[in-house]
Amino acid sequence: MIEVVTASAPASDAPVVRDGAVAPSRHRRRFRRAAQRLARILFILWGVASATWIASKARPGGEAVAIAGGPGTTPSPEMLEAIKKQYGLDRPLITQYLDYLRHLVTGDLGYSTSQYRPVSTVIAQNIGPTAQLAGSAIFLAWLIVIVWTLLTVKRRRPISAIGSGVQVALISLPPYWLGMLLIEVFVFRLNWVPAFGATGPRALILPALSMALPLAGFIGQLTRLGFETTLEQPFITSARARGMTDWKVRTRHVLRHAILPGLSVTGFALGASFGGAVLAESLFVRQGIGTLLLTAVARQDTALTVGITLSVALVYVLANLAADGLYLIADPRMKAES
Amino acid sequence: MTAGDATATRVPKVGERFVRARRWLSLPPGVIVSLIFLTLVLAAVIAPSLLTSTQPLEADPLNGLAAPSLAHPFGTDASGRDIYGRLVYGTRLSLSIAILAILLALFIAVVLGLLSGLGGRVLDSAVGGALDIWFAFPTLLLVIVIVATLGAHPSTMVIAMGIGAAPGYARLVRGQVLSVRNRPYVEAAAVLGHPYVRVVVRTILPNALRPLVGVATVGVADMIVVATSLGFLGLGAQPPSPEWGAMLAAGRDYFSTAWWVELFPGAVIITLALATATVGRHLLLSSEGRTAS
Repeated sequence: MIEVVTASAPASDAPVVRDGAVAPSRHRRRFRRAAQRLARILFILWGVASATWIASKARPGGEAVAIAGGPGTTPSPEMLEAIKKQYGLDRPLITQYLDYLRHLVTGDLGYSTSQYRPVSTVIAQNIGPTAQLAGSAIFLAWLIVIVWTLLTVKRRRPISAIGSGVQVALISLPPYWLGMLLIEVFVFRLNWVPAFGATGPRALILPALSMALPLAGFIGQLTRLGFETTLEQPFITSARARGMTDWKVRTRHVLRHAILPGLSVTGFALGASFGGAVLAESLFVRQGIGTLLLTAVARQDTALTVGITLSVALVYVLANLAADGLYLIADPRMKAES
Repeated sequence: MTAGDATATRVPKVGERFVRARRWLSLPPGVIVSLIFLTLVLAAVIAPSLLTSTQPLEADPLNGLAAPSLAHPFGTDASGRDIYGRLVYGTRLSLSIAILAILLALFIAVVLGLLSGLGGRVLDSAVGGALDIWFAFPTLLLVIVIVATLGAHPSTMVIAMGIGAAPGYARLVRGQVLSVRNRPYVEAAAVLGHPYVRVVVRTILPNALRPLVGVATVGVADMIVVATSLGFLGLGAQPPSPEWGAMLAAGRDYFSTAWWVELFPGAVIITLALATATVGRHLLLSSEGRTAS
């Protein structure tokens, strides 16, 4: 146990063979696991696509009315007829559904009725800034979590209490309110960062921070709990007995265990950040998927709404896959066990 | 706690009250403060006129954006309405949206969790697959799309937030049901000849739901933040209404000249979220037999 735990490098390709008999079938098992994972991803994507399709069909007023301008408008029956014909809405539902899936597979998400361009083009232009924002938010959140955990967990009583209290407070912070506070202080009072609408890394700091702080509270709580339980493990005592300093014990041994629970929710958090980016983007007047979504729903642009939903779901699935991979690197035991 | 229990066994009747008082005092100070604040919030829900003499929609255009003073402790908004009074009157709407949303989420979660935990392999994997798909929609995005599709209204907010928060609770309930259903006391209830439905409703469900009380209380805090986020985006309750998110959204443009317009509603939201989260965490920890560190 201790051997595996203290091994510093993520087991390279050197097989962790426990008994010889297991080795021959390892490749086949690995292949089967990969196939299962792929099947699950495809299933989730299919489900997401189908659920959004059903929702877009079931919306009140019907799709044709939405294209014509929404429930507030009163299009003539001839106009609705024409729209139905143009968008193929007069065909049987099953044909429409299969057609929709076929188009999705080829990356064709339809035509945006509010941007007057193909949905895939619109999303491709807007997903970059959101990815930057969500990515930096996750990165910042982890940075804060690691520093905060190393410094405040299981220290003298007031320090630990403040450390944990701050984390609870961070979780409850509404991100938009935090953002407004940051703008007021750093843009208007101190003039440290450029105001709204600017681009570049300097303009990224505040919106990313407004998303990162609540996230740091969330991940931090899991990490804190992991850190506390790990500090009580026998191998920590043995490391201390070998004369390791407290700081080294914390950074070399404990941290690696403590980040695992947080790591396993990071994929989820990244997906949520793509959804949550809408607040930061709206507040900081940034281009991105979030503001695009607000326009899409306001203009009843079904194709664009569906497209954005699907891309965020895709990001979620891929992020989870990546987080699982990172988990394996941080915890080689999983590789040996499964 | 243990010392108090010992007193109770030695002097059962006289000590009873003493033990109860000790138990209240042994609550962490954070939980006590939170409970006091929540009592005030409850008062604002039941009888807002007790806490303020102003009316939430009473405008005084000549006194717009007045700084906090004795007459208006939190200042006034752009139309000269008393912000403190509006916050008090908005409590009922904001809080009931959050609580109803959590109840809806729990209801969906219990149905799915029971189906999945007791319904056999086929149902379990069907529900599991549905939850996998459900999870791929981030809560806020799902809520925005549903509210925008159905129209912005407190009732659609409840539906959207309930649907958005349900999958997380459903997974929890499923796990709980799975861990509870094979416990000896469930077996005992079955052996005693109780009908299956009774065993599920009276024995499995209450035990499976116990840790959920704390989780759901923390969830109310999340829902308050989500609901006010919607208000902030203009997708929640609409402006003249004193709903907290709508107040924040309306004050957005005045923040740099009149900080109180944003600061106080935000501070109330945070305090309420913190208080519910603190109480919820305490409930959660004590249901697991631990105490907060």
